[in-house]
Amino acid sequence: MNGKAPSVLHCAMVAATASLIAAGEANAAMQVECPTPIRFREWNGAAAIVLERAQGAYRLFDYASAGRDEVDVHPTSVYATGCWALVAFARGLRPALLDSVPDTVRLEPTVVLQTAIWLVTTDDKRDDLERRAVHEVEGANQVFYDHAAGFELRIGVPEWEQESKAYDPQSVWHFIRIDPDTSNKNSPSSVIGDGCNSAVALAGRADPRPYVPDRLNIYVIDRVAGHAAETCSRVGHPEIIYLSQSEMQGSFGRLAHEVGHALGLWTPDRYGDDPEVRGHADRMGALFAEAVRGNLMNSGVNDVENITLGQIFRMHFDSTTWRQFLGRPEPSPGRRCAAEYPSWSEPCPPLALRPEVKWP
Amino acid sequence: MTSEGLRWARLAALALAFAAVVATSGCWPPVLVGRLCGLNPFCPTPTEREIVASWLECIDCPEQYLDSVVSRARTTSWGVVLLLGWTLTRGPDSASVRTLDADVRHAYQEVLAYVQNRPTRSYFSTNVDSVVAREVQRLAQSWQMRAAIALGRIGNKEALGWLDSACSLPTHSTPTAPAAASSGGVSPLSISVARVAVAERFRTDTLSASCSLRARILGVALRVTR
Repeated sequence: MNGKAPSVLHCAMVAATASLIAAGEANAAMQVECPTPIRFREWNGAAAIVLERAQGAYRLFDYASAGRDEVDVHPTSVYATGCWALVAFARGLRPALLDSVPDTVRLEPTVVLQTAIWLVTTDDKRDDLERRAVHEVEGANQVFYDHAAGFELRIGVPEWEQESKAYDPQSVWHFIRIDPDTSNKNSPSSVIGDGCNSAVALAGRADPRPYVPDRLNIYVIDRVAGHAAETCSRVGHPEIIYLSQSEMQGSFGRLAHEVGHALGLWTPDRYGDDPEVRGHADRMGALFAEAVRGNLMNSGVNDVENITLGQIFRMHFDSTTWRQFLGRPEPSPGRRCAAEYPSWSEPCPPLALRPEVKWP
Repeated sequence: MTSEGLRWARLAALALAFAAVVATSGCWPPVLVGRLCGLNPFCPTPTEREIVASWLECIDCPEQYLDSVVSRARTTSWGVVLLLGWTLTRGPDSASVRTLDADVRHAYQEVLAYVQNRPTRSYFSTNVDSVVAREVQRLAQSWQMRAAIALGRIGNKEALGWLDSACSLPTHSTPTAPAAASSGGVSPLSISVARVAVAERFRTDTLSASCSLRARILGVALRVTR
């Protein structure tokens, strides 16, 4: 790490969370000796440690202070029976999930989510819409960075592809003119439609189609039926997101919210007596009691104040995350995180588990 | 009690009843949404406010959010309709506007700090006040649209009355100034909100004279499936 470069130093203000599963009788064979201390490379800052105890419970363990690059976990009695896994979270870096605990953990750069942004509008509104889209993308990036989510939407400076019958799958920005002839069901704007009820047909069309597989397709349209924004996870297309220009609930945080849905935070679909929770933190009652204020996944949030460690974990490693759909699992295969259970004995940290201090 | 005393007691009771009718008739909305609301037994309850707020604020809204508003409005109270009608015609109340302003201001300052060293920085205005004002206006307009949608779905006489009221308001091409709610003055509707109000009015009923005129002025294509 280059400690002389302010931006790098800033990026390296890192918090780390390690989870160590103390083996019970059933998994005694998986026990390994815990190295001590654990050193974090590309890291310099506060750290949080999560331990998983003999019954498989995760909990926050420790924070390293700024300037420390190692965390001594050995003296605790909590994991005295052995180490199993480690998860390290870092601001500006991607989380690391390791099934064995090395003595040195290297943290990698953030995961770049490839996007295709489709602005569906008229010529006179194009500039405004482009500016707004950039605001929303940067708003999402800021939220992900500040809360150590380990993701980034990379859009660069907008460069428009020339209108053509075929869409360049490498282009980020696409401009779709609204067809004034609304009876033309094959025009690109008609094909894109007004929400997720169009998503299956859109993705299933033959090329040329205003859709790029393996990218997050973000459609900025005039109105999304019944929503300010919508991710189409429920119809099997988490890679399709609609943003409304008429209804702006969520403000600068709504794209981050929708990307959260795309990355698996659309479960639990139901919780308690509520059949339509759809991953929204404020609909999970006691499960999110302490963490709900300003949470990214509240059904309405204009100023994101927190993303929990449990949510970040699921966005990267849960089997429901869109990244797993792409066949690009992280070092460990996708885990089956039962978000609807507040139990501490799941194979993932509790959904509402928070870093106990503000990220540096 | 003397007959004179009885007469004064009756007059006092009548005056109280009259005051209650006025306060709950919808003609005096500040009483229903403002700080005096707590004195009014017909005020929207905290639960009703919560139900309405969930619908007005949600980003990706399950059907249940709107259904809750509609069922509450149809079965138990008109307080919900009043909240929606007030939001549609005047914008969010002043307390909500203050909250929106604070949230958006903080969020934008965070984004601005983040993009300072990024190539897209030219897209970002450092005039926080103007950006926040515009964003809050957009949010206020979004709430008004949601209110119109809910009133259309409720579809009872009171709800349609509020949509008619919206059709009678002047329009302009920029979003409604959110400060109108606190000032108690009549504020023009944005054209976008007016369009939704007209369409929602048409969804449930034939258009009133005011909405019919507004539809012609705005050139609203009334192809809503009824």
